[in-house]
Amino acid sequence: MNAFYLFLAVLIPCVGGILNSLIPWKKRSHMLIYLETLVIVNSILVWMLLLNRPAEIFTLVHFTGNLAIAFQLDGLGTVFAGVISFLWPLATLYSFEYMTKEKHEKTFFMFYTVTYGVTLGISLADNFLTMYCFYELLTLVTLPLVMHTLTREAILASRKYLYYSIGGAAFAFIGMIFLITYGESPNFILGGVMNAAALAERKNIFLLIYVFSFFGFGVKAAICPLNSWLPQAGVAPTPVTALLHAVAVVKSGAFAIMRLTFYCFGVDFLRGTWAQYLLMGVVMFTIIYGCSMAVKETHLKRRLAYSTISNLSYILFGVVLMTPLGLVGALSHMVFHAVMKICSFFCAGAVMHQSERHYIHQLDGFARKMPKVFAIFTMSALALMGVPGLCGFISKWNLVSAAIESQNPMAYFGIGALLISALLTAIYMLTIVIRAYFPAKDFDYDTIADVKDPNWMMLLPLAVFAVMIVGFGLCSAPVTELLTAVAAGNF
Amino acid sequence: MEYMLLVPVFFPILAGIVLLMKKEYQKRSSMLLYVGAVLLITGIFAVYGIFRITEGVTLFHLTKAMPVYFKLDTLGRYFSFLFTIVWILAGFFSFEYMKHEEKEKRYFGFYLIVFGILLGLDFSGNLITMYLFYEFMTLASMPLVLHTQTKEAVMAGLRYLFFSFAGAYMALFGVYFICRYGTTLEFTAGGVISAAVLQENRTLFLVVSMFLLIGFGVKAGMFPLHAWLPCAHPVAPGPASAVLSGIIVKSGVLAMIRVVYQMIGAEFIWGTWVQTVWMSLTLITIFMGSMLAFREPVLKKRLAYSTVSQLSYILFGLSVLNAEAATGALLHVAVHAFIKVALFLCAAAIIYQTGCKRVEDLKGIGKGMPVTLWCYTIVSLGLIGIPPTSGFVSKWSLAVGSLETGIPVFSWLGPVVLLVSALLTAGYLLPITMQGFFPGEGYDASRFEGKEPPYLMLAPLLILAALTVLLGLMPNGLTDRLFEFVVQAMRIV
Amino acid sequence: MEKLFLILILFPLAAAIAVMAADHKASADTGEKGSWKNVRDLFVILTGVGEFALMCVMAFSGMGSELFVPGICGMGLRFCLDGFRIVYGLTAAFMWMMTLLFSREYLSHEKHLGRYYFFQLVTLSATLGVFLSSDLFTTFVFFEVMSFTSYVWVVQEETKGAIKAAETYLAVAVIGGMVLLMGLFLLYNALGTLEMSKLLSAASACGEKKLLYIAGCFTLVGFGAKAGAFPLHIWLPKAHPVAPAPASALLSGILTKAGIFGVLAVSCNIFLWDKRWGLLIFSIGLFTMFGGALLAVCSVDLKRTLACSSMSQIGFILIGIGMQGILGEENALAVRGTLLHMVNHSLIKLALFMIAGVVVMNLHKLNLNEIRGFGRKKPFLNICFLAGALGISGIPLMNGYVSKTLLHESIVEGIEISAELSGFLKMSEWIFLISGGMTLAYMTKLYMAVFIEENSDKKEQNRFDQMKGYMSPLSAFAIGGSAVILPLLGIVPSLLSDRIADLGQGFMHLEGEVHAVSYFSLVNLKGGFISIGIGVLLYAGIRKLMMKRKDGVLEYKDCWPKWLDVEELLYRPLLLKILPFLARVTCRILDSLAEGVIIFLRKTIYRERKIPHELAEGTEFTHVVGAALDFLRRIKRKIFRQQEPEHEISYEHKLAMQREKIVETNAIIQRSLSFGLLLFYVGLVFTLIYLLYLGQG
Repeated sequence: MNAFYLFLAVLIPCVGGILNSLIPWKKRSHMLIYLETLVIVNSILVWMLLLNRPAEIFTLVHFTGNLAIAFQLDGLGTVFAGVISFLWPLATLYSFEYMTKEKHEKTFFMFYTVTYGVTLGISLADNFLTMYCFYELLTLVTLPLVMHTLTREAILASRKYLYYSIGGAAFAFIGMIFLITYGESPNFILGGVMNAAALAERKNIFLLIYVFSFFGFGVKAAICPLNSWLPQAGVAPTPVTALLHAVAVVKSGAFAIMRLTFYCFGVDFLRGTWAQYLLMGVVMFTIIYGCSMAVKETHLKRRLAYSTISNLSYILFGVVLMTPLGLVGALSHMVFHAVMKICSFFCAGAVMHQSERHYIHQLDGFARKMPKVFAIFTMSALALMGVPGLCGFISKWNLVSAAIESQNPMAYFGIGALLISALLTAIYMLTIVIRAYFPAKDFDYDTIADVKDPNWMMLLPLAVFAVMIVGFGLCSAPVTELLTAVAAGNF
Repeated sequence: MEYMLLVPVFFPILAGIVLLMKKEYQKRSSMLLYVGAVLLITGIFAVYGIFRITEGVTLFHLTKAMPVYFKLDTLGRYFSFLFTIVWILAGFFSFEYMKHEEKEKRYFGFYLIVFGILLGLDFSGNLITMYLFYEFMTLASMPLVLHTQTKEAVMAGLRYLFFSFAGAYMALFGVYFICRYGTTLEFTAGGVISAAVLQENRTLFLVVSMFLLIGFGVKAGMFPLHAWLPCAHPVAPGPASAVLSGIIVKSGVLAMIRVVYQMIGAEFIWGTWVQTVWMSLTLITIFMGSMLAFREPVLKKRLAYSTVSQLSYILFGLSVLNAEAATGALLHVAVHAFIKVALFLCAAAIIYQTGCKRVEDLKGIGKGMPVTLWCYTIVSLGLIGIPPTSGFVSKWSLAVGSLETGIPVFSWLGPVVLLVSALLTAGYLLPITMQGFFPGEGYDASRFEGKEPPYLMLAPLLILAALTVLLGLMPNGLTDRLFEFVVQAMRIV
Repeated sequence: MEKLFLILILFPLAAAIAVMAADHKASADTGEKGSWKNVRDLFVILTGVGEFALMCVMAFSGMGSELFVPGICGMGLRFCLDGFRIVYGLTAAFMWMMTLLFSREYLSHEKHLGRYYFFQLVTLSATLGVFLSSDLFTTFVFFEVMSFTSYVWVVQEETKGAIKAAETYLAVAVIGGMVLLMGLFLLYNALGTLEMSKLLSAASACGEKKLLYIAGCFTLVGFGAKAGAFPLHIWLPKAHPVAPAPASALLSGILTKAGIFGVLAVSCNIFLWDKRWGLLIFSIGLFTMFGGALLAVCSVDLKRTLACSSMSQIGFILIGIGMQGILGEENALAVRGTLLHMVNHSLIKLALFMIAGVVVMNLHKLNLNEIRGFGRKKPFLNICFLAGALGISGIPLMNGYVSKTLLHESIVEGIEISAELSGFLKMSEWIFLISGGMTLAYMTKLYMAVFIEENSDKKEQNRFDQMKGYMSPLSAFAIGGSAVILPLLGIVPSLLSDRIADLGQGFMHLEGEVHAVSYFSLVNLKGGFISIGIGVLLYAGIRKLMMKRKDGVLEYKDCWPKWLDVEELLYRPLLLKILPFLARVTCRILDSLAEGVIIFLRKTIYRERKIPHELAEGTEFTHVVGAALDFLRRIKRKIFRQQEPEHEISYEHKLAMQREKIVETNAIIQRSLSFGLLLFYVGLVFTLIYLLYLGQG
């Protein structure tokens, strides 16, 4: 396959999305079919690209020296692009049904589809500059989605989201500058591109820069001091919070950190340094912080948002271990968490869509009225808790075996943090499940008489995710092998 | 042929799920027929598996290194045989009992599922399969706890769930390290981790074994995290609290035996601070359990506290790491299972017939329900450890075993606490008999007139009482096999 | 011959079940003449007689036979038959037979007879099990069964008093059992075996003596509780008045002896000829003897006196056991004295309690004042009571004298042999004689009250006198039979008593020929007469001190203060109130440890967030300031007591409006052109300043 298709995969959703708002649709269903086919075609293209990978690099624009916008597909990019391209069509299908109740859909779907292209751009980026450009673009594109409901709260949330992201990107910019000046080769190479002499000479400066860019990208990956934007972004419609704030946006933050650590600064330089211990401390604190806030939270979507914060720090914990096995753990949790979290967010969305209830204490006895949705929600809850037999257990298993392998005593405390957060996950997920399935004895069901299961457009994605959760849980060997190959660099 | 091992595990689970999915039955008796049939078939297959099948069978691989593998050794045979008998008896008891409760279909559905998971736990051949069934045990048995869905029951169910998960995750911390450093995942005599590795990172493995003990100890009601047990068991419906107290808590004991003796190895823990902490925790639980049960007004809560104390008899026997004491502990597993299930079934029969839950309004119950109270008396004599019954035999080997070890303080402190707790057991069990049979003048005889429960309820009680006395009279058949297993499998002298 | 052991123990069990079935039938058809009742009673009597016959066959043919039943209760049961066991097996079987005969009439109109007989027979098999057992494990097994089944005797009448006494009895039995079990654990751990034959060799081989003493003390407490020794005697005086007479005859006759059997087994096998151990038991015996005698003298209730006298006689026996230890090798006198006194005491109490049973059967009253003069016109009863009373008081020519003399001689011998103990022994000899005297005193008190003095009101006295059929022939045979043996044993001691002593002494490791004791020699008679003298003196004292004049008539006064009851004073408050309270407080804390942490976390860090309510207008700042101002205004009004104007705008609202106005004006200014020009001008000024002053610097 020619490398040009890489750029094509990024271009189609952007152009298609913009076109969508220009075409005067007579009937809503035409628009839906157009959008769905657009997204599916693009996904097929991406999957064809993943299967037979173009070796060479496609440079779109060549500024000066080694500054260029170029696309290339390597192991890490395949994983991220694969996840995005698989989830996006399902999310779009889900949002058709969800958006029936919201206003000005066209602009929503425009930005929604453009984001798809931008995220693919991040994953297919060949060098740091491209990734950084698309990273910034992603913030700008997702801003209107957060602001979609245009309530006061939404505007405040989007403003906070904007300030946090731009601030973060600024920090990352400092890192980029150092990379471009001291990096030997422009594009990403596993094991780092910085020349050893410069690194050895002013070690502490580079470590500081690494920490800055880590925190820069960490804003999107919701590290502890910088994650208060994520729960407030919950005001956005569910497809946005589910896909962007649980899968695309935050994962691109984590993806960027993986690129930064494994492909730019190089792990051997960073391992054992004070930076690693500092970041591991911050990551572990975020894991506990996320879960604790989730237990405190009474709003359904905000509780899941906090859970995302905690699970993202699982991924970062894998990265911070700075070992190939750590990368495997991080990637496996990235893949599995994407599926689990999008499934639980969509269930929450379905509940809100059907009954307009946002708070957990209003969910008594819902399981009898919405059996399918809550069955899948229980499945995702059990997966998030790490019950063996579902995919959560496998990713936690990989993370912990990486932590043990790394012989780093602090990692053992990390395992402790993982298990405490698993317990807290059990608490905040199962309280919802039990409230739904076992309401108080004298609960009269006619207070929720109108609540019923949503139609097939919402249920199909949920069913697919449920099957994936159990499928990954029971036969996860192929996925782990692929990820080990990616981490070892020979994929 | 060894695939037959999977039938008793997955057949009841599927049957339970089918029952849950099915719409309401028109006639209650057809549902009971269904449940009874499933119980019996599973029982037959289980017994066939226990006595016939020797090789293991791998179902599938969770990850490359972790197969879901079933294999029966003596411990597995012993536990599963014991659980099958008691589970079927309690099942038949609940046919009658559940007439007074609603949502029977859900109860029997989960009752079957837990039966399958329980057998899966006993049949499991390696650590991961055991852990998998251990966690599903908590999830499947939770609906039994909060079956009545009163506010208190739901809170007790939540507390049960989160305590068990806290314990499960603590144990998981240990399981990770064992899987990493152990040569194989299967249960092998004397432990799987090579002595060199053990000595090399000694403190790590001591911390790991402590977490394992406290983790699995939660399910077995050991001291720090036992608070869920006295709340969860009384709120469950009668037969459910019977099997919860008699059987499901034993899964914690089984897990502890497997991990301590067959994964980490007894001689590593011998003499270390882990053993001392373990012994002191069990002794505290023994005393605390029976002390709190001593003046407890609600009958079922009193029995629940007694479970907390009696389970720590078993754990103390295991913690002393001596062959005789371990045999006594294993025997006490059977003894306590029969006795505690019988006690709870008596309580359930009393509640079913007369509806009184508190001890003080049981005055003169013996006149109305003589057979039930006779079974109650024989069985509580067993629990106290009065010679002709089996409780005495297990207490004898526990105490003698612990004295044999010669550990400075605990070797004699153990038997003393055992006996003080036996005294307290008499203090909280016998007054009910004394009040029941000899109420004194001021009680109206008509209150409990002719309240004897129907035969379907009495049969399990009589069988369990007979088993208690029989095991007391002829325990050697069982104790020799257990002793030989303990010496061979746990590699302790 | 070994089969007989099993038959001996299982036969009463089978019979018990048969009796229970018969009683069930009997209570079903109360219609016609109660044929099933007779069948049941027949069963019971046949069992009693059959058991005694079996025991006799066993005694004559089975000497020295052994039986080991493997597997039962883990360690298996072990029986053997030697001289002592024959003596005590026969006594037990004999007493059971007699009481069963007597209880046919005594209990004829009682309820729950099936239950009573069932437990009576099960206790019979358990007691025989205890006496025939040859290792302490079997003893313990039957011991526990015995204490639980004998509980039902005490609670037979189901009165409030009976239930409370039975509760105490059971509590002492269970506590004693547990402590005994602890002792057995330590013994088994130290010696490796519990078989009585091997205990002696194992004990001498075993190194640490301290452990053996601790184990010994535990077993002593266990067995002593059942025997009614001093600290744990509380159940004896309480249980007897409420238990049916035949039952209390067995309780004080045989069950206490089971306790003594245990003490003997431990003392003679583990601590043979051990001075310190002997001294310990000796002092306990001293307390029990003197305490029992004192209680008996002061009690007014017929059966309570007999119960306390049993306690005192147990004290005598414990002194005998103690002397065995103190005297060491030459403890022949003590051994034979103990054995004989045990047998004599059992038989005497059998007779006395049955006579008391006759009194209760007819009058249903036990207080001495009420039953006064009952026996005046009843010669048969009179003679039997005399036989018993004289026996126990140690009057020469009666069996009591024989054993008491032996005990007295052993103390005297002890004074000579052990130099350092002689002072203590001299003092205890005097206490021995005083207690003997007290025994005589309270027995004469009973005899005078029932058989000599007249009842205070005449009508009652005439009723007593005309009472003819007060006893059925069967009961008469039972009482007569047991009363006639007492003088037989006493008159020609060398014939019967010595034979019994020779038979039983092997158990206490006393081998070989023992020189015959001339009972009626001057020095022995002197001991007897001293105690008789003291007895007479004491009785005179009783007449003066313990009687009070009530409207002209001498009345017996219960002068034992109510509050001085050891149980109410010490045991019950300690065991049921203080200790449980302390333990429960600590356990509550321990129990709620994990719970407390969770609740604390839930209250602080993990508190659920309140559902945020949107502010109607204005920002957080205006809301807070406005609310504060409103609050201040309300306080001002309240202080100066101004009344509230009707419609009044709250400060909060005013502030919110104010803020709205400011925001709007800002927006307008910013958009206006003049604002842009203003900014341009300011910029210009700055550049000018820079150029002028800083530029050329």
